[in-house]
Amino acid sequence: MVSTISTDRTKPAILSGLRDIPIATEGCPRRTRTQIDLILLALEALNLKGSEDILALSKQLELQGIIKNRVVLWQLRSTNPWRRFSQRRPLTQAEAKALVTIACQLARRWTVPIRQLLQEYDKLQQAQAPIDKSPHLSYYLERFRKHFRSRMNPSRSGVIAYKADEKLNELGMKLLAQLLFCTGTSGAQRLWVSLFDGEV
Amino acid sequence: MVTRRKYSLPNCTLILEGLSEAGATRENPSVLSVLVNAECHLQGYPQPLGGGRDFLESLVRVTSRYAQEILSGVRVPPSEDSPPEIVRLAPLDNHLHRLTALTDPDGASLGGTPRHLDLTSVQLFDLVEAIDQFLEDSCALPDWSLELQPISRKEANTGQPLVQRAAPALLGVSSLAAAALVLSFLPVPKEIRRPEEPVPQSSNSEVLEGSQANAGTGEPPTPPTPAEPAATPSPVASPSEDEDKKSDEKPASTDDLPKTLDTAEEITDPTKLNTLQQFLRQQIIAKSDAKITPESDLVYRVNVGQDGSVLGYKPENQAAKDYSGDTPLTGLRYVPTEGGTATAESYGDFRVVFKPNGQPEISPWKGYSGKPSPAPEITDDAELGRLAAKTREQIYEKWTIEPIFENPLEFRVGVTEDGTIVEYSPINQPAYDYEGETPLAELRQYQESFVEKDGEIQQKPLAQFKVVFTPRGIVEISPVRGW
Repeated sequence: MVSTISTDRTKPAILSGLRDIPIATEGCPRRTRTQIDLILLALEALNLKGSEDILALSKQLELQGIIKNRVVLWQLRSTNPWRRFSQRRPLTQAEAKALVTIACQLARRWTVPIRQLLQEYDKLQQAQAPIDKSPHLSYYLERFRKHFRSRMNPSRSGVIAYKADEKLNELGMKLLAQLLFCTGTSGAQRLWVSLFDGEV
Repeated sequence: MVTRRKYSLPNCTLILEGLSEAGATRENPSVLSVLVNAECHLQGYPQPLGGGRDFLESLVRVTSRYAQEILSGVRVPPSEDSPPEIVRLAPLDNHLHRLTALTDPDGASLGGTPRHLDLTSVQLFDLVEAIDQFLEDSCALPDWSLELQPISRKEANTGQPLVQRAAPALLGVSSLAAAALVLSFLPVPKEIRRPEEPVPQSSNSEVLEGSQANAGTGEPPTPPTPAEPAATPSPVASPSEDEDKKSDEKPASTDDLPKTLDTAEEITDPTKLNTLQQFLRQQIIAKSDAKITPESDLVYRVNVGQDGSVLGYKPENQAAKDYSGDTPLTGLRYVPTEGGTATAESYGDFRVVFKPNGQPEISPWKGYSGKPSPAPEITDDAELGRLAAKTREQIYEKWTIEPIFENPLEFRVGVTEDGTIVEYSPINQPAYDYEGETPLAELRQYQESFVEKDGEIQQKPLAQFKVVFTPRGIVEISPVRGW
């Protein structure tokens, strides 16, 4: 358990830019948990070795006190109630901050492809052309749909809404635009605070 | 001394001009401390937006807030109390974002008439990033900083009709009772009667048959009969709370009190309750392939999370106990794979009755505290025309058998904005009799009438059509409200 680890390791300096949000519930609200997992899922769809990168960054950013290994990473992400093997444990704010920090670092690393994909999408929208006109976009969305379907529980009502390919594509594009906003100077703070919109 | 700071991004350049006060910033005399003019150049728009401090403040505040809305998906309509903003941002249908710069309230114009700039996500991001770089820059207006706040629950709700909440004390009682309910599949002492309901019983506790709640019909409420064993807070709840603490080690089959349910809020808003009620009804109907034919009514109390998942249920009469496990409810209860029980931030409390005739009746356990708002409806003529065509096309495609009826069959059909038929009901007798001759049952997709938004189930807006199947094989479609 995280609580048994010394406080220094659970409060790495890199997380100090993200302030604690006063919320009534123990652990992060449901939308927060879902959104963090989906953001990471979109990053994985962008990059073939996404989950390796997450672990490598965790080490690099000295967040190992929180994300020790692959199993812990999986457990944290599976606090997303949409997951097939959704975990009942709460997601603490420190854990959520660690995931947000990693996600934003990864997003920044992938700024160029994120911008390119979004620009291609805008062009297709203006020309009213279908997404499959862009091989890059199709590839990202195909991977996103595959990741989403293999990990989310199809009988959860939140997931049912994304049964159709188009709906999942829309979600994939929405997440891509959100990732762009994570790449900025204050991306991590912006993402972090947004996770609690409507929850405080 | 005049100072200039420039923040350049591929699609946006922000230029600040002002004065540096030598006294205040001796170490670094080039700090821009008094803003004279701000200019925002956006790619594709030759003329920049510009203005003084008020303009820049508005630009920073509005853009920052909008970026947050993109990240969270939680939109807050501008409040009526807040002063009008010089800059506005709003989403357009085609994935663009409209930046509008208005003349400011003092009458000083910002380049004349209001200007609209339609930005792509990448352009908008560059604007946000230019602002963030400026706010991080200690050499420009050092007293400005990025101030981010999560949108409060209250603000997030202002767009919707306000929840008519019961008095807090009452909520306390009912959530305790509900807490007891979810865990108390334990036998309840027979002699304990249901405590006097502190809620004024709603005058329109309704049993849903059609899709609209027929609130306000003046029908007497159907309170739980006194003979029913009741979920009482005190004697049952206390031992079970102890059990809950150990619940992690228990197998999935035991019905634990979900940890958050004692903090979960009971949904009392009539519209939300009505939506959950219809969602539950559809889930039950969808699961009804194994038809049960009880000899008497089976009464269950069912708790449904705000996202529509069935959190728990409890038989409320002997027949219900006997049949427990055979009703569609069994398959609907959401059981997290690792065991334990599902949790939710808020939940609706329902009474579900399986009748000997097979039709389930569902109503809020405590009735409605008011009239639910009518289901959102698509009323735009052009949209109705498009959907009518789409509906007709689908029906013709599937309607391949020769009509055997002699009179026209009239149905009311509800269609979502993407053209999916989600509900229908016969209007005339021939329609009842020959329903099976039409492809409506095959075309209808119940589950498509709901959408989960921010973890809550919501009804999609529907276009309502009158669809007539004629004996000559023609399908006539018109909006129920007329053209």
